[in-house]
Amino acid sequence: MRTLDDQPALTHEAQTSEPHPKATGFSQPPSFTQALVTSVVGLVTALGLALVIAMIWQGISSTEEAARQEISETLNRTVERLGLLVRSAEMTAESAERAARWPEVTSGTLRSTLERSLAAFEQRPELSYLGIVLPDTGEYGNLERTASGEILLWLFPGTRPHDPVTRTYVLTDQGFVLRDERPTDGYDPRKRPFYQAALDGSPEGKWIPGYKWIVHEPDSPDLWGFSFVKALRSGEGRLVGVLDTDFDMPALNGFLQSLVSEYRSEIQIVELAAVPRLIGDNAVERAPLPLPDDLAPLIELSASGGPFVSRMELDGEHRWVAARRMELKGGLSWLVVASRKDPFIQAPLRLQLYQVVGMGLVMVAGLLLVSVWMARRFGQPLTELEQRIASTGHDEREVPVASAASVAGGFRETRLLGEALDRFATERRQAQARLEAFNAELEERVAHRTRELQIVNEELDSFSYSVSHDLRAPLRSIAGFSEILTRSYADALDGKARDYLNRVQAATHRMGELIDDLLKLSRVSRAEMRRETVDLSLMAHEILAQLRQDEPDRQVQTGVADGLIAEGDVRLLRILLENLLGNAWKFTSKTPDARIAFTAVNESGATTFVVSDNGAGFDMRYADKLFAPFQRLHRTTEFSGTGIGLATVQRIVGRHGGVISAEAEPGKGATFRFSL
Amino acid sequence: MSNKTILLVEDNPDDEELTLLAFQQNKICNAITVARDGAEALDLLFGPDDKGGSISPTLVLLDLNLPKVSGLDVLRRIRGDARTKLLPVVVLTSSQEEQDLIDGYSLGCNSYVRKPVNFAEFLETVRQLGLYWLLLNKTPELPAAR
Repeated sequence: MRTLDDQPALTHEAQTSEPHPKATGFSQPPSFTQALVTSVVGLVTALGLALVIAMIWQGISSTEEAARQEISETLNRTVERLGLLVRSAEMTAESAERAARWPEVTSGTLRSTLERSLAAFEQRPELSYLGIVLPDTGEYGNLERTASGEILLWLFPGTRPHDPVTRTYVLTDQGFVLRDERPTDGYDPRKRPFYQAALDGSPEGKWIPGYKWIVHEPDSPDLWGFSFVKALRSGEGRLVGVLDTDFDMPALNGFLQSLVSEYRSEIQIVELAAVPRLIGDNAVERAPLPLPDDLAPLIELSASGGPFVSRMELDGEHRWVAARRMELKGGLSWLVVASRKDPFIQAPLRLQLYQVVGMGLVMVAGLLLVSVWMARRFGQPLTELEQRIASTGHDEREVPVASAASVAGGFRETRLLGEALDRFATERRQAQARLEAFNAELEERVAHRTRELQIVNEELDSFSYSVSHDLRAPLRSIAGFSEILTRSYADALDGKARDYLNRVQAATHRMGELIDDLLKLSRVSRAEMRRETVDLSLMAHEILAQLRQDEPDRQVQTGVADGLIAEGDVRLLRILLENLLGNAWKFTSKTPDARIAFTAVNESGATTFVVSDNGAGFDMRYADKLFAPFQRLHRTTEFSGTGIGLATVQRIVGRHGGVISAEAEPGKGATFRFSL
Repeated sequence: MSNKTILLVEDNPDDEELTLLAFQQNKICNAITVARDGAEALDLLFGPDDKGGSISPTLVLLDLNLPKVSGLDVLRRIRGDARTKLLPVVVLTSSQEEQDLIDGYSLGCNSYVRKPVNFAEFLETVRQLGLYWLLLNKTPELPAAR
C-alpha cells in the first residue's frame, strides 16, 4: 500500500540544504585586512624602490660630471707642475748664466763659477745636472745630484793639452773635496748633441728631445735624459760657453710618481719629436718606450691645443682620460695624459649614497611596520565581524557568548555593522525557529493525513471485499430463486408474472456485472505500479487475436504499427489496451467494413499512441462525460457495457503520468489518443 | 456414487438452499452434510474433543467468509491434520479477490470456484463439480479415516 510515508521529509531537506557561508572555496576574494596590508606595503615598497633608484641615478650622473671635472683638474695641475719643473730648470740655467757672465767664465774660473751656482742648483732637487762647456778647449764642468742625494762636481779637461784628467769632487761640509781622478778617454762635450743644439738655438735657450747619455761610471746601464741648453755670448756675439741643465728619465718619472700618488691618477708624457716616444709612465725606467697604440689617437685629438677629455679604453680598462699639449722652449712639445679608472660611483658620493639608501631602507621598514599595524588596527574589527557572520550561519541554536557589536572594535562604522549583524542574527534565529516550528507542524499534519489515508485505504479495501463478497450473496439469492421459480413453477404463473421474473433476473445479471466492473476499477486504482519496458504492438496483436477468437464470425480489418514500446506496468497496460481495443471491436460490430488501427505519433519528443476505429462513434457534445464511471453514450440495447471501461482507461493513463483525449463523430468512428 | 458424503460449509441459508437445489437438479444424490459455520465444520470433521469426527466426507465445499472460524482457518486445520490432509477441498465462494485466491491455494485447496450470480451458470458449475470430484477424480484411501 502506498502512503504519504514515501514522500521525502521536507523539514530535513530544508535544514541540510542551507547554504554554508564558507563553502564557496577557491574563488574567495582576499580579506579586507589582507588587501589593506598588501596595498600599503606594496605602495611603500614601490615608493622606497623609486627613491633608491633616483638616488643611484643621480649619483651616477653627478659622478660622471665630477669625474670629467676632476680629470681635467688633474691634467691642469699636472701640466702646471711640469711647467714649474721645466721653469725651474730654465731658472737654474739663468742663475748659472749670471754667474758665468760676471766675471766671464774661463778655464780658470770654471770651478768657482759652478760653485757660485751651487745654491741655485741645490734649490731644484729634481735636476740631475748643471753644466758649462767652454767652447775653446771643450772643458766641461758640471754639478751632479746622484741617486743617493750626494752632490758631485765634475771637471772634464776637454782638449786641454797639459792636464788630460777628469776629476770628481764631492760636496762636504768643507766644500768640494776631490774624490777621484780618471782618464778622459777622449770625451769632448762639444761633439755631444746638447752642445750642437745650443749653437743652433735662440739666445733664450731651448729644450732638446731626450737622448742617450754617456755615463762616466763603469758597467752602468743606458741612461736617457732631457736637457735645456743655452749658448752664452758676449756683447759682440762671441761664444763664451754653453749651459745645460738636465734631468734624467728616473728623475722625471720620480717626479711624475709623486704627482700620481698625489692626484690618484695615471700620468703619462709623450714626447712629440719626429718619432713620438713615451717618456713619462710608470713603466718607463731609464730609457723611453715606443708609443703605445692606445695613446696614438690622443696626439691627433689634442692637436688643437685645448684639453681633450673623454671616457675611453686605455691600458685595457675604461678610463676617464684628459690630454693636452705642453709647449717647451725651443719648439719641443709634450703630450701630457692624465687618466683615471672610470668609477661607477665616486667615492665621496658613494658614502653619501650608502647613507641615503640606508635611511631609505629604514624608512621603508618603518613604514611597513606602521602599515601592518594600521591594517591590523583597522582590519581587525572587520575580520572579527566576518568570523561572527560565519559562525552566525553555522549554529543557529547556540546563542553567541559575545555579540557582534562588542567584537567590532572602537569604530563607529564597524560597531553599527556589528549591531546590524546582531539584529540580523537574532531575526534569523527567530525565523529559523518559526520555520522549524512550521516544519514540525507540517510534519505532524502529514503524519496525521497519512494515518487518515491509511485508515481510508484499509476501509476501502475492506469495502471492496465486502462489495465483492457480501453484495453478491443476496444478489445470487434473488437471481437463483427467481430462476427456480421460472423453471420449476412456470405452470403456476401467468405470462405477466413470468415477464416480471425475467426482468428480475435481467436486473440481477446486470447488477452482477456492475459490481464486477466496479471492483476492476477499484483494483486498477489500488494496484502497485511496476515500471518496465512493454511491447505494446505485441500486446495489441494478442488482444485482437483473442477478440477474433471470441467472435470468429466478425470481419474486422486491423492494423497495428510495429515497434510501439512504452515504459509502464504490464498488467495495467494490458487492461488499458483490452478496454480500448475491446471498445473499438464492440462499437464496430454494426459497421459493414470495420477497421481498427493502433499507431503512434511523435510530437516534440513525446510519443502519443492512437487507437482509432470507424465504428459508431459518439457525439462530441457529451465528450466530457466520456471518462466518468458508469457514463454511457449509447443505449444498452444498442451496445452492451457498464460504462466503467473508459474510466478504468483514464485511471491507468493517469497513474502513468499521461493524458488521454478522444475525438469522434456519430457514425464515423472514434479516435483515442493517449500518452504514458 | 451415492455412498460418498459431501460436506458443504455454508453460512448463508439462501446459498445453502440454492446449492442443494443445484445438486438436486443435477441428479447428484450423494449425502450432503451442511455445516453453518467454521466451528461446526471442524466439529463434524474432528469431533468436539478432537477424538474423531462424526462424518468422513469425500469432498468438502468450503465457503471462505464464515462466522466463528473462517474458511481459511478450517482449510488450515484440514491440511494440518494427518487424518484429513489428503481430503479434496473445493473453495466455493463469492469472493474473487486475488488475495483470497492466493491464500486458498497456499493453504492447499484443490480447487477455487466462484459462485456465479446467474443460477443457470451456477447449475452448470455444480454439475461440473459433481462430475469431476465425485466421478472422475480418484483419491487415495484416507489413512486415518476410520
